[in-house]
Amino acid sequence: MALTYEPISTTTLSSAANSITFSSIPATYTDLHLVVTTLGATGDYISIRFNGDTSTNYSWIIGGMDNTGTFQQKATGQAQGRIGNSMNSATIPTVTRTDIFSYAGSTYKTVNSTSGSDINGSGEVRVFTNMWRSTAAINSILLRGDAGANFAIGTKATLYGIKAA
Amino acid sequence: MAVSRVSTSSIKQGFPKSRSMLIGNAAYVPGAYESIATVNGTGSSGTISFSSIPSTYKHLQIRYNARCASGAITDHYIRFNGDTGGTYTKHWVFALDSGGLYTSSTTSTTPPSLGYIQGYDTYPTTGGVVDIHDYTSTSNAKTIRYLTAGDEQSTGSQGAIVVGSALWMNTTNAINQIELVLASSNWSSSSSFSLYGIKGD
Amino acid sequence: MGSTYSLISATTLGSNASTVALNSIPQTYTDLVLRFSLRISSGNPLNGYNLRFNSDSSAIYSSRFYAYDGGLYFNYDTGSNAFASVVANGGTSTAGAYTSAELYIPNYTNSSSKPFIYSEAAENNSTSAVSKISGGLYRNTSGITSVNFSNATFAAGSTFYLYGVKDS
Repeated sequence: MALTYEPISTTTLSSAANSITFSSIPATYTDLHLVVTTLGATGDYISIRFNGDTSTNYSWIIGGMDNTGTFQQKATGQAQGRIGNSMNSATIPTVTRTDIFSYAGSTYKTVNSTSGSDINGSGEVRVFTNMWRSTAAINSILLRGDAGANFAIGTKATLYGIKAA
Repeated sequence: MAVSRVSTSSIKQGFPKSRSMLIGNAAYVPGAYESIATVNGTGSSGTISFSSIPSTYKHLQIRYNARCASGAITDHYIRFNGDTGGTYTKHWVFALDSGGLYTSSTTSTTPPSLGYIQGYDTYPTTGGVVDIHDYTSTSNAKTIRYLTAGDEQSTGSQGAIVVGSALWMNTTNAINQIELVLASSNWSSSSSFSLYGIKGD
Repeated sequence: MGSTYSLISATTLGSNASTVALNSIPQTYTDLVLRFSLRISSGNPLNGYNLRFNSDSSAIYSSRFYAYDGGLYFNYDTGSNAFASVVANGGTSTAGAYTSAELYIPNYTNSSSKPFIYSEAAENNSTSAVSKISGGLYRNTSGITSVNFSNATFAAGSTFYLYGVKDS
């Protein structure tokens, strides 16, 4: 029996890697919650794919601030979603908290994130919302650099399940 | 009564004794985050209600995945204990929608808006998380923080993000009812709302 | 056996206090979540205060935020001696209004710098209110063992709930 708030899996990179994957995600929860601390000095956003889907089934909106002021961005028909700020440092993580609502249901999937990065002189604080236009239950999640950059050693991602009454 | 742990070596050496029922094991720490109730939309009502909320937690969190049945984008509000009066405030850090990025502030207002619910796509495409601190207080006003956001691709232009907070200026009553109310139309039957409690003792 | 999301400590101020210290934080969790409701007894509707870790007043804090603060507002600080992006309701703010906030610190026991996300609502029945999202950094490689509030008189009725989250 699933508890209300329960860890499903954790990955911490012991060497640089192109992606982090959560597979065989059980369908026993209501929502998923991801906590990701990413390292890398590449400037790449943190992106997400579900169930290996690389088709243009993702869209997003981003709002917040960066070094110069307010920030907004919108994209449709993308091959991956965007959930977190760019990786600005190999030693100071970007923190991203992501909610994936009704992930096991037969509807499109809404994914909302808050991401903060501060490396004592630059960084961003932003909110992301994504839609994955698929009615399939999410059974795998792939995290990657938006343009293919590696995550640095020490990057960590934990997937939690949240179960409603 | 002494509690004994038995092993081969202990049998040889004589039973070790412990005054603790745990006998070296870690104490169980119960979870603080619990599910209280789930309510689904019906397609025929614009109000979702959590009633008889137990007072045994310190904080509440509402998580929802929702759609407006009208097929358009619609505002939605939060209301406590049926209070419809001008006893609320609302401040949005920002809203981002087809009109761009902006902020909003209302005072002495009727139940405050939490942002926009999409209806363009067939499925629920707005996710919301609302946090309510110290909801049982009978001396403090009730502050909430929220993020509601969702994109849609039917038109490609009607997604929205709202980050904000609100205050229910009632200092004498614990929250025992929460309603999420659409400004117009109904919650689709595919909408789902879950209430969680976070313990503080 | 521990649960995933567990209460570490609960503190309620029975009377005004010039400091609040959440000490002896066990190093057995993965992330920390601090939920607090805070009011400052002094007269302004909004007041700053100091939030520090491990009573550390070194100039190793930085943060950036966007907020409603009379309008859309963003700012950042570097090399500060406290997490500076914090404000709380003061004595002339709406009666009974306490600032609600959540501070999320992942991997707080790591031997590396500590980034965190902070969400704050200093609500007030006026435009003198703050609603904010911050990303911050505490550049200390020691585990966080305490969270310390200072540089203000914190009002009775303020509450602090510290939770630990385990990733396995």
